[in-house]
Amino acid sequence: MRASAAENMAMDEALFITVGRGDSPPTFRVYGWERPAVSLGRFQDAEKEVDLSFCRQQGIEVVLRPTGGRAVYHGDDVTYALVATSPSDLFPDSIPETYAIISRALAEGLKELGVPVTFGRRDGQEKCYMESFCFSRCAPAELSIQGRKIMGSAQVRGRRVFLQHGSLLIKCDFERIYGCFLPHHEERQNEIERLKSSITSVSEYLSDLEGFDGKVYEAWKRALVEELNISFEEGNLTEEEWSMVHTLLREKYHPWRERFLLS
Amino acid sequence: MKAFPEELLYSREHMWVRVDGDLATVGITDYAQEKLGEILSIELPEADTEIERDEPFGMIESAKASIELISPLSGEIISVNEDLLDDIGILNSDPHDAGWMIVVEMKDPSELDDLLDAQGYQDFIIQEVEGD
Repeated sequence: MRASAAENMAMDEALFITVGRGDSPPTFRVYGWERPAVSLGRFQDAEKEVDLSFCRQQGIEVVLRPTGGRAVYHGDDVTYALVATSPSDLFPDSIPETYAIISRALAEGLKELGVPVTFGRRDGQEKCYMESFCFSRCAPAELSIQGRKIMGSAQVRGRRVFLQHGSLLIKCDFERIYGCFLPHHEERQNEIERLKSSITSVSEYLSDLEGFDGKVYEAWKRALVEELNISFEEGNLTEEEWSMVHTLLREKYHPWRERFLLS
Repeated sequence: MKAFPEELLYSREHMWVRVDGDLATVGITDYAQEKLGEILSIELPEADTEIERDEPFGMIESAKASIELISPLSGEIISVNEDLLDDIGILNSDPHDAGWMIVVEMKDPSELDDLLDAQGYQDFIIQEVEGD
């Protein structure tokens, strides 16, 4: 399913609210972006960390996530969101353990498709650059291949509920990614080369990406079933969940988008 | 070693409360700050905001995740700790004193009866969070 950046974040946040209230079951969804976008961590400052002028010129939508962490460029990626109660039989009251459980399952799904991911903290990392950009560093329980990050995730926790979502890179447009984030450096080409050495994408490991969105969705579902010993029931958002989505769009995500389109 | 000051009350959402008449000072516990790791940012409401028990009133960002701050009681915020905006590290280094977050004029002091004392909070952590 592809939607606008605002709609994608509103759907994730709506589920965070309805699962937290006990009105929805734990939910896993996989989605795409109808046009390129930058999603910012909740605490980031868009004006200081994103080249908004560049994004406007390029038609790149900018959105604030309900989760923390740093900015992510959504150009050609697949995004997952998992919302569940915690503490629960499935997920302990531990942020690192929750990350690990989910990352382990998602890694197994990717390996099944021929993408050889591992959990990653990059050792011997060069001096940090592109501080605003999530993929410039790799935290424990994030996925990488030979030290290059391929998927980043972020989590928000409420009362007995959490939302974790993350972005898997399918292809990378390094010039465009670099252009989105501030500050820009004098040695632009050097910084872009560093970026290429820090991140990777599915396209470097699979030549046939036809229908990959659907394949990874199915592989992740199988892996989560095995990891968590659960079963899934397929469906769409309920009427109540859609009502929450529309409320969030109206009160939060559309006003925020308007503010940055006009600035 | 985690601290559980005896004079405080505690919520199951890892908030502490210090009561002074009708006023309650609120913050996160030492146990919470240790579990969160380095705290990077905080969002707090303004004074005069009404808050409700068991509802989120703010948010913390740690290196690991963003976490909603769940209010242990209902009332009107009369003071917010502005020092936290200048030195967020206080939350990790001194969560029970300098790291206070808000002062609330309580709407219903009987809500304090649902909070835990220091021993009760430690028992809660052992039994419900860290397992038997």
